Amino acid sequence: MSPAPAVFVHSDGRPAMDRDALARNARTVAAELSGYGSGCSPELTAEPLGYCINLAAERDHFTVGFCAALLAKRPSLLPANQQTGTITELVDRYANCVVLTDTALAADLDAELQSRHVPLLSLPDVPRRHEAGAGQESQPLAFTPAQTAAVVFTSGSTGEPTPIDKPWRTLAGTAELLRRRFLPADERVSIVATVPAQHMYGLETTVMMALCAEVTVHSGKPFYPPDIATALRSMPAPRILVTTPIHLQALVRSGTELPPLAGVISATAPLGESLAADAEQAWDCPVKEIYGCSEGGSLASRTTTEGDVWHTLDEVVLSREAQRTYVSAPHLASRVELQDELALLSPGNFRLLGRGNDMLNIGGKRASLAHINRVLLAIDGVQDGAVFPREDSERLAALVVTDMDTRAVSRAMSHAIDPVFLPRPLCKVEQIPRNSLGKSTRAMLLSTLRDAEYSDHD
Amino acid sequence: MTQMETAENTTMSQQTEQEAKLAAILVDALELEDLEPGEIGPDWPLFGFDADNSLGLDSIDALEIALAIDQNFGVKLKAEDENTKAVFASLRTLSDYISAQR
Repeated sequence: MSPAPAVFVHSDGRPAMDRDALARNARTVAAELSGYGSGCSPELTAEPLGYCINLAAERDHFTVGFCAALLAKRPSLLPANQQTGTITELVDRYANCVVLTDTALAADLDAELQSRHVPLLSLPDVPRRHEAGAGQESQPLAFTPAQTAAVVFTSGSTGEPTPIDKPWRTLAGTAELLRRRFLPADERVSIVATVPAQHMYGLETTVMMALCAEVTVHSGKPFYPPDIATALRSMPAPRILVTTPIHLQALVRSGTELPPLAGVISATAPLGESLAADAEQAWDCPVKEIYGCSEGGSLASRTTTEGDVWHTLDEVVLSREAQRTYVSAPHLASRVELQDELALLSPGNFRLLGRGNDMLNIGGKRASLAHINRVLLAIDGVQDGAVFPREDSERLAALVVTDMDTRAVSRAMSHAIDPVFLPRPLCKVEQIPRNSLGKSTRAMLLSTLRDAEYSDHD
Repeated sequence: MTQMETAENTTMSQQTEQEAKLAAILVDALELEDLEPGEIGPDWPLFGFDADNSLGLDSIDALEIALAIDQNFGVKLKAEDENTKAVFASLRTLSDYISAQR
């Protein structure tokens, strides 16, 4: 008998993980998780018994923790970043959290969690304590369709993170639609991804693919071009690279040689047509993009070089009502209103006219502009301020009214915001420009920034 | 302007030729408009904001700088070679890494 196909393979010499090992490890971790609960049996309840914050860096560890959390009826909270302030805010907001990890935590986060008595579970350690079960066949994992698997966070104009529950059947439904759109029916595909498992796009294209489709997923998150090449070479063909415009651009510009690819999938930010064409030429494979949103997950795709028309995934239906666009699909619990501006062309086809929300996405990291502004204004010592997109790049700039050193402002913001979203330049001004309605337009902010920079150079 | 003062007092002209070239790449990639390449001390932390002279580098900057280093020195940065954060600790560690790889 040939060995069971690997679901996860690693670059660090650990043995590959098949479906049996995944199920066994998940049950072991679930048993440990139940020890932190109220004593109520997870089988007998539909209500969450608590929550998991899964910080695991390796995809196999994340997936074991994610499945264990499902078995233990503890939805996985997926914060936008892993900064200490963000995680601390979550454990204060959600009762009975357990933090799952596979690396040493930052010292300040460790201290915050300890002071709150939040249990910390090391995912690589748990199965090691239960090696007796190794080699035995394990029942396949099965989850209740309606149970909440994950909670993702988006934010409205106030910048307050708003939770969105993702039932298991919604995530599994999206995975099935993505499988049908992107994967051949008769071959086991290898997936290498540069996006984290904790990001909705990464969750759907790697973790959920591993659980719901016949694929082999690389457990790492290669970053530099040579790392991506090494990871791809360690996987059998056909190979699909799941990535973002930032990583794709670095790969193309570096001229790194890759093994044959069956396809590239990009998401999180618009992919330029010329970059897509360069990538297709360099690797002789189609480059496709996924369109999605926090509320609905992946919804449509396009082949970038074929034009700007998006095609909805099977079963996804868009509709217009009173100048709003809604999406419905069997796997979505209810009809979802899209924040973006769409032009519906014909059933299943649309053009994306503009992003309606304020979510920023850089290299698989996400943040909301309103939230970043809220973090800036919440700093003791900042009287006023505004963060806004720069003129010449996707990065941010800020104007701040404060007596503080600008570095101290950046440091304070870095507790709650991923470094790639920290504004640069962060410019001290006498006052924030506002119109008669008290609003600051981006044009006014950019103009004040230019003036401030100009006078600095005098 | 504490960075400038620190620079003038302690670290001017301590950069090696290779460090000076790297400093120019850093200033360009990071768009550090308030800082001349020659002012960056070889031991200043590149990532984060913990020290007064940290430069606030982030992961996307690192990707950009890795490309520039490949173009200028023919050295490809890899995360699995070493702890990349250690390589990116300062101008000096970055320069030492490049020298070792060439």
